[in-house]
Amino acid sequence: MLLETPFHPRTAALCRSSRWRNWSGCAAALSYEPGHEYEYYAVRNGSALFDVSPLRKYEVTGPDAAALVDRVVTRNVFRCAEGRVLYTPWCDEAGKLIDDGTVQRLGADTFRITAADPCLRWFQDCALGMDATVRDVTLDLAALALQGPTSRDILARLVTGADTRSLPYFALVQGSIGPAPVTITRTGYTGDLGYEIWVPTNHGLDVWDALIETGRGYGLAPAGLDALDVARIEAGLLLKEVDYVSSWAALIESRKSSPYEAGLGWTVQPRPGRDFVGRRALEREAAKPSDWALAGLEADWPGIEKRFAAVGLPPLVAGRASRDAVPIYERGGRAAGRQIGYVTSATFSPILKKYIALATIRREFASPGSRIEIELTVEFVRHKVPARVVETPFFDPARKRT
Amino acid sequence: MKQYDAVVVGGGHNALVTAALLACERWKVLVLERRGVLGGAASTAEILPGCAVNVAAQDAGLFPAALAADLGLTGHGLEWIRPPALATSLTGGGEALTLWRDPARTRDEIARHSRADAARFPDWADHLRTMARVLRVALDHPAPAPHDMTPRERLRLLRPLLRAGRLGKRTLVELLRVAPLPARDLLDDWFENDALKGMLGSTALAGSRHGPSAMGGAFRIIYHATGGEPHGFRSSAFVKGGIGALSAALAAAARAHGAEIRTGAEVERILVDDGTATGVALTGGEEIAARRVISGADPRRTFFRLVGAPRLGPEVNRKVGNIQLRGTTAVLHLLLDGLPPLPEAAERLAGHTLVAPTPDYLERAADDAKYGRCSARPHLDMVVPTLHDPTLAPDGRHLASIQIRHAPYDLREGSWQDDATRDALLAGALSVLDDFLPGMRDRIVDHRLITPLDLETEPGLTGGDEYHGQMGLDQMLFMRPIAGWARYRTPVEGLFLCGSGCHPGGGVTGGPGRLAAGEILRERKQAARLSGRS
Repeated sequence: MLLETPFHPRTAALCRSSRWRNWSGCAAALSYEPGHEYEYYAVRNGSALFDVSPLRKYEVTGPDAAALVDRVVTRNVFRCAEGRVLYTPWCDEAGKLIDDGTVQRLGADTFRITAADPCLRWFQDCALGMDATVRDVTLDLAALALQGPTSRDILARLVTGADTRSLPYFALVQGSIGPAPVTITRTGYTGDLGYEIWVPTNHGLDVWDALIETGRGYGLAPAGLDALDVARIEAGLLLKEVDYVSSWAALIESRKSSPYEAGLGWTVQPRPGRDFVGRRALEREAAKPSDWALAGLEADWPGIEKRFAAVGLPPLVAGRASRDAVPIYERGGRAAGRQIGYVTSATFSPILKKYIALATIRREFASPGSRIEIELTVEFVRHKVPARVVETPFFDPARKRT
Repeated sequence: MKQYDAVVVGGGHNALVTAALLACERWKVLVLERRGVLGGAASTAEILPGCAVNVAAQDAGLFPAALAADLGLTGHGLEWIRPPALATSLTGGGEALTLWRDPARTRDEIARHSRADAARFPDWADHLRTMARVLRVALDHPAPAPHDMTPRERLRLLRPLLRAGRLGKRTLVELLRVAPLPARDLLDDWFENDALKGMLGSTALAGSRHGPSAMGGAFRIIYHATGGEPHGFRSSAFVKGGIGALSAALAAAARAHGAEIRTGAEVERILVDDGTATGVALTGGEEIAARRVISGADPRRTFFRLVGAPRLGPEVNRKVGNIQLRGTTAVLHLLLDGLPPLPEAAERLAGHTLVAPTPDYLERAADDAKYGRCSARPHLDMVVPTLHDPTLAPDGRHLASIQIRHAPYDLREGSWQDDATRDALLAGALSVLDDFLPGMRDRIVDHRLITPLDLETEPGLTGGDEYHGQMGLDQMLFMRPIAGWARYRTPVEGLFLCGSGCHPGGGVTGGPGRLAAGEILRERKQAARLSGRS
């Protein structure tokens, strides 16, 4: 049986599509209307309100809290000041990705970590012998993501006791929305201007209602996971178990990924004397890079149209993001047709009007400009269409950071 | 700074064995013992005025004669005592059943309780001896490392396999059948008399929280039979001057080969630099460099206290945290103004004197422990060392050291720091004693109770577990201390274990110390060969 999030009384009433997905054991709307297009455009042109309560949340406190978080994650937590947030993955001792999420530094000795899946025991095993306490606060905190160009104005009208308008990218502030004490982080999974709002579960509905009410004049729409999935691919953000397989879920070694292989090499931040879980393995990998890398792909749209036209169809690419792995082949040269990787996530980007994908690909083909081919099935027949490697994020508006 | 080839952390008997064997190979070895006395859990101390008391371990019968000979321990003052009685089971109302070293006498004794059992006993003794011989082969060799079966490993496994094979395939298969059995099932196969079954089954309680109906008890019976005693029963061998004299002889042997031994030197920390042990730091700040650090402490103390969990990976931490360290034994030392009142006391009480009248009695004692309570009616295992060595107590006085099972370290209610808890345990033990040895109580002049918590603070046994880890089948051979940690090595380069927490296991056996020394020497040779090549 699926659990209901603290917002379920509202989201269930709104969910006219009756389309739900199991997200971490909770019922999460895929889209509220039968299609997700309107919700997607709310992210890019107005504001979208996502219920992200199923995220796992952990609170780390105690004199060694910073040392503990610094030991768990790959990023250098000592450079995370109070009131700042870090995006970071964490690895097992073999340097393979376990999960990724954000680390919020609420105080000198207080952190909150978000994770896709349960990590309490892992964090606690890491904490052995340290003066730090890890608590699972998943059920204590409800979470909303308010994402889109108007989100700043909506929050500015609602939040008291804090200046959200000048809140920098990846910073946090504590304030109130009506009677509800909230933590606001300028973070999100859409690559747009946006915020995430963390509120005690019992105040969740107050905040939801206030946002919906105030959002009326700002093009605010509740949005589901389908719209989020398109937006996060445009933003070049990874999805666990889709773009990489957690080392805890992988059945075989070769399915595991290191941060370097998942395009997260920049999150590995050694520091003299710093020891974090997986450090030795990652040092070895840094010295002798893996064969695999993550790349953003842009498919050749005329090539796709041509394949469909040949059988008398308009291009029928999935309106929703696809999570089906699709082979990538070498293009031209002597080894043309050799498989060199696979697409992990793909979508038609409504704002870029391009077919884009995240892929795991052999390192020698992973540089921007590299020309390859991806598989495309048209009328039950497999074809290859040209594509090229491009920089991610695919869509990166200035308003995300400014 | 002086650099040693090896620093041995702790002066327990296994640590001393390792130190002595390495010193024999001309290693520069330093042993560091926190306390003023050597021997760890195998030490003798004046914890009752005027007495030399074996604080925890009493019996040294599992210590192999060959190892004692190799180290020339008799030349260093070691003198064995093998009393005529192996064990006496008190069956109530001043009655007793004794297993004597002399087989004929034993048969007559059992026949008083059951003729059928007396007739079967010689076969049982044979059977157990045979099982013990096979197990002995496994205990005499480093455990196989199935996680890492290189050709070299396979080759090394061949010798013990051949040796075990020579004992017969049927014997091997029989051991595999018997070892996982509950003690009760094994004994029910053989005997009808409860007193005999209780006595034989009591061995299964040593080193485990579980009662005679739990799986794997038969293994512990066989393990304790590896000392080579005549009936295949547990050992009954003591050391003149107390068990501390064995540790003293080991220390003397080590010193004679050039090892340095410092007492009152507490290792506060094992120094680790980027995953490699480089030496130790003592309380007070002194640092000592060494190429190898060898810990005689139990694995959890070694890793969580001496290395420090934050220096280990979370995966290692979890495994170390999950080692079953479950002390369930308290020791009551009594000073008596005469022998306990029992007919032929001087003879019958010369071995182990047991309160284990029936398998059910043992089961109930263990049931209490299962729920975090002290046994209301505990199983007792008493040794009267002054029968063999009157110098251990003042003139005319006797010492009785009684192991009380079960007294779980982690109590569900109360704490070992409370007087009430200790008093209740004492009262329970004395009341049982009074029932089985009427009049014993009136002989008590003085007493000293050692709780599992005391065992943790004083010799330093985590969880009060005198075996450095439960002696279940799941924590033996290559699974001791942790499955995948082959051969006394640890995830910290240059840090080795040599205590009872390693294969072959707990008890005063010297086995882990001996095998660890062999592996450490082998590793050194390999390293030398490799560096010679490059």
